[in-house]
Amino acid sequence: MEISLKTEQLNKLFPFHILVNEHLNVVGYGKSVLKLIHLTIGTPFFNHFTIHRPELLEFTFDGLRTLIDQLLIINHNQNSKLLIRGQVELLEEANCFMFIVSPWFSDVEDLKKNNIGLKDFAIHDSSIDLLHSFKAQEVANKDAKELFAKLQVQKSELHRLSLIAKETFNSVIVTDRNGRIQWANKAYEILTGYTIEESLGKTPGSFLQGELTDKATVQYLRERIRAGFSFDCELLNYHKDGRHYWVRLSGQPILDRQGNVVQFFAFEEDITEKRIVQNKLDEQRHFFEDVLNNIPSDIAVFDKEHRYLFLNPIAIKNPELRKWMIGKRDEDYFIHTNKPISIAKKRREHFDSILESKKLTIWEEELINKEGKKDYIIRNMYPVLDEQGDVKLVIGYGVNITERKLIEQQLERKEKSYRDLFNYSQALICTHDLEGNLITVNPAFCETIGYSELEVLGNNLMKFVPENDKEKFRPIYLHNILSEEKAGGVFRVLHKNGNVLFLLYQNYRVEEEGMQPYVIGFSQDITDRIKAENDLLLAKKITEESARAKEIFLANMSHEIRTPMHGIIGIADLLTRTKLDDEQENYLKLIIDSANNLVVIINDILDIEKIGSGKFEFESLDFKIAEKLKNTVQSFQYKAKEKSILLELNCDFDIEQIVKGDPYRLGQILNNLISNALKFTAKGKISVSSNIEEKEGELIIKCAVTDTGIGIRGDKLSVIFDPFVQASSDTTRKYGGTGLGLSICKNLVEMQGGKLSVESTEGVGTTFMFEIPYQHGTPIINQGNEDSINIQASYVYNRILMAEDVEVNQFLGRIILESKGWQVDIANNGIEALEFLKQNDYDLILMDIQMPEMDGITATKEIRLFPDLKKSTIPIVALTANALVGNEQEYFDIGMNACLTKPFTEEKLFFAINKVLIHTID
Amino acid sequence: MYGIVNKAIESLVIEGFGEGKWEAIKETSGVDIDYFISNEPYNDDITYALAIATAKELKISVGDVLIAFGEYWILKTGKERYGDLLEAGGDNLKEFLTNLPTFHNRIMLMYPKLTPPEFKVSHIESNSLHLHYFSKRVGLKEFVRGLVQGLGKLYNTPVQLEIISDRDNGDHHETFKVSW
Repeated sequence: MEISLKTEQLNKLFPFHILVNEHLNVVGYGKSVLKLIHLTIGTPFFNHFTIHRPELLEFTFDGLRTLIDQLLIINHNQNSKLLIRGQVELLEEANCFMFIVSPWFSDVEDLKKNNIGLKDFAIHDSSIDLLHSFKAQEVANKDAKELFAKLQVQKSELHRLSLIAKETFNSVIVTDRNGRIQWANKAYEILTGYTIEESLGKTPGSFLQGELTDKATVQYLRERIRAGFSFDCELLNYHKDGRHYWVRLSGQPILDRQGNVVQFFAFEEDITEKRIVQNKLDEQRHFFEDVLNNIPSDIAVFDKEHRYLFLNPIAIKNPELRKWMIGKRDEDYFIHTNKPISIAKKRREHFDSILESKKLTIWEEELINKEGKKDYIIRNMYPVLDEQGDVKLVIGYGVNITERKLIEQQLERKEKSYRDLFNYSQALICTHDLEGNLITVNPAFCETIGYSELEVLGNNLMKFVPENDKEKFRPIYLHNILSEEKAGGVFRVLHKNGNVLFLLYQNYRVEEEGMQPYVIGFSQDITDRIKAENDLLLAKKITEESARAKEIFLANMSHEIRTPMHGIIGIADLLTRTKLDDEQENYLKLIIDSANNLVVIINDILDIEKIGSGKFEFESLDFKIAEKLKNTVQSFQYKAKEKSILLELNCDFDIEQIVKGDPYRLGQILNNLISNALKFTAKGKISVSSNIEEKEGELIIKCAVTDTGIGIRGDKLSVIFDPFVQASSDTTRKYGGTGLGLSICKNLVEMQGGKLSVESTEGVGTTFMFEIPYQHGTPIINQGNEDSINIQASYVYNRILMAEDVEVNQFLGRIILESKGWQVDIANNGIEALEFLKQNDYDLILMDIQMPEMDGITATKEIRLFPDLKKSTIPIVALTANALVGNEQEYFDIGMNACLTKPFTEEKLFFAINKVLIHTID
Repeated sequence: MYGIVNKAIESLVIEGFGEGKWEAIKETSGVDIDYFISNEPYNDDITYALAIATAKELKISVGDVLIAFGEYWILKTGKERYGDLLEAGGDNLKEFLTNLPTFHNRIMLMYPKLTPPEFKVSHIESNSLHLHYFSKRVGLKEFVRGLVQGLGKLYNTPVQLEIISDRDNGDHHETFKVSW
């Protein structure tokens, strides 16, 4: 089968072919030829190419025929480096040779140099593959070189290591997987004392370890070797000569490619010396740690970066936390323990300042403890410097001052309290030295005396003392303070404005160890009080003087009225015994009534005065109550009959009942009430009723005086017992009276422990009720009464001496006494009385108290001193117009035997005379 | 996989991250080979293990590691060791990719112990073509992506790859639409 190729196909299959005609000129070529060679159609082939092999002997068309079926290697004439390889075939029909060639490149780079690419070759052409193979070979060679170089390096390294291992001062051994020695270096022999030959095949433990070797470490080694793990430990071994030494043993397994342990490599460093040093260092470290750990304050050591290097258990109790903190900063710790980071920042600021200043820094820190309370820590931090003066370490220690702080706070509070007390006290507070120089003063002090603190401090107290008192300052005030440690009293000081102030002071000397003794003073401005007291004293004095003047006036008035009244009543009484016509008798009665009224008024005034001045005194006499009531009521029957009023007495008790009390005041009360009833009753009756109730050992006498008089308006009932008050102004006008009677009654009742009340209906009548408690009385001997005029013949001389300076009274006395058969001598004063008595004998003396020359009291005292017993014991009856003072007791005390107050009735006079003479007879 | 690939991985890691990292990757991967011989075939597992360990050590995805390997292979290893040969593959990216099937077929002949992937090219356009990737290995498609991206950089031609068929999605093979 004949085939033919189209040019395109020829180009694709043989892109480097060249066609040469019989003239040996190029007549055609493939598509890739021009990339290699500049070729022109028609130019001689051999202008461009030279057949390198086989050798062409004849450059003819036939000559080329000899090249058929041979591998041609062709040179390019212009580019000697360009080789072309291929074959030549004769195309007979075309009568030309076709060179089917490809460029021959031994290096890929040639492609680029010749601007040839893969697409320029026929796909089947293996030239590229060849180039690729070349490249692969080149790469392989490169790999080989690299590998060789690497191996060389490793070999060198190995050799070096081997040498190191062999020659190192440290012992190196290689064991099999069971720990039996396979190889050891020279240092091993030196360290152990055993030769390598002696050691081969043995485990080190079998001959290098002894009883001091730590069993736990040996066990550790065995387990690690058995497990095929590396190991690292310190071990005590025994030298062949018996001494022991310490090694640091580091070993690791040697593995095969499959990871199986085949050997162990161990490295032993003799650390005996190091260990000894380390032990000493450890001892020292333990010593210092013990010291640091037992100091009662938290201690921490930091590096320059503020990392903890050491903490003692006081600082951090938890050992795990303490261990954790090493290498950490405060910030780490505060975050770790969830504490406020602000404290860490503050610490950091202090730390930074220490790094800069290189000086001790102290600050106070507040922490919240587990109980939620505040802890106060005083922190001290100082740098440790190296030889260059740079900070090497920083040591910090803290002391818990919470207790101290709390005490300080308490003290501060107390101090503030005291300061407030000092500053705000109304009292004047100061301190001064023992000379009186002021050290401190409080605001009240300055304010009171009007000076500022600056004006006062440093000055002596004496400066502020009035001139007149200065001489007392040192001998009295300072002396007391020094000798008795305190002084008190009233101090007079001068205000800045010149006024004198009175200060009530109490000052104390204070002596405290380590301090100069000083005086603390407390005082109070009592100027106003002193002034008030003075005013009060003055007022009291004035009042007392006024009262005294009033008393004297009343006494004098009483005396001066009673004296003539005595004469008037007495003379009137005498007059009644004379023969009178009806009109005269009536006039005389009016005179007597008026005089008696006046006496009542005077008595009431005196009584109310006695009550007011508290000088009222009550008798304590046994008396028959019924008799007293009866006599009193009886004394008003006459007046009742005059007014055609029935006056009755109803006693609902044993008429023999004896009580102990004041019968006169009972009579006075009844007199007042019955007198009032008579005064205000125009018709009807007045009944006096009484009963007795026994209560708690006392006899309560209850009396009621009921009348059918005008009555009292209800709105006046509450005021009728007030002094000088009557039920109405008409009453005074119509019925007279002072308005003192009911007030006196009420006082007399209440002063005896009783009560007085009133019930009244205007226009119907009034009932006054009173009750007075009395003691049980004892039976009494009948002494008679002033109503029974019974002159006993009990006298001896029937002679009476009357000492009386008022002529009318002398007259009256003489008439009365003589009318009863007495012989009467009149003495005008005490002196005369003494003379009369010396010269004569008398049965009795009536002695006026107030007389010229010698008063009755003096005269009595003299009489009682008479040597003649009979005369010195003569009964003396005092006659006095002085009813106010009420000092009858005084008369009895000086030896008088009875007392009659003027004006007295004839009956009273004889009753008194009778009474003393009976006693005399007794 | 021939040693040249593993060597490329080693170079990439050492160059980018140092000897220590390479040792760590070897430790992680369990590959205890001190020296990869370029023309020596190695088990594909080694390459995978190295890629996975590298991803783990560098904290990136395995895919990213493979892309990096691919680019590095072209731009560093290929260029340094096979530079001229590589350049002879074509005057531009399109020409190179078009020649890629033939190129790999030649490789198969030259390295009989190697099982190179097979490439086919279709849908050749002026600015894109489809590159079909047939391989017995699973999971190296990102390596192919890296290679193509590296070629783009080699020819200064920005390139985008879109995978339009994927064995992970049940397709017969991976097909990349390569656009430039």
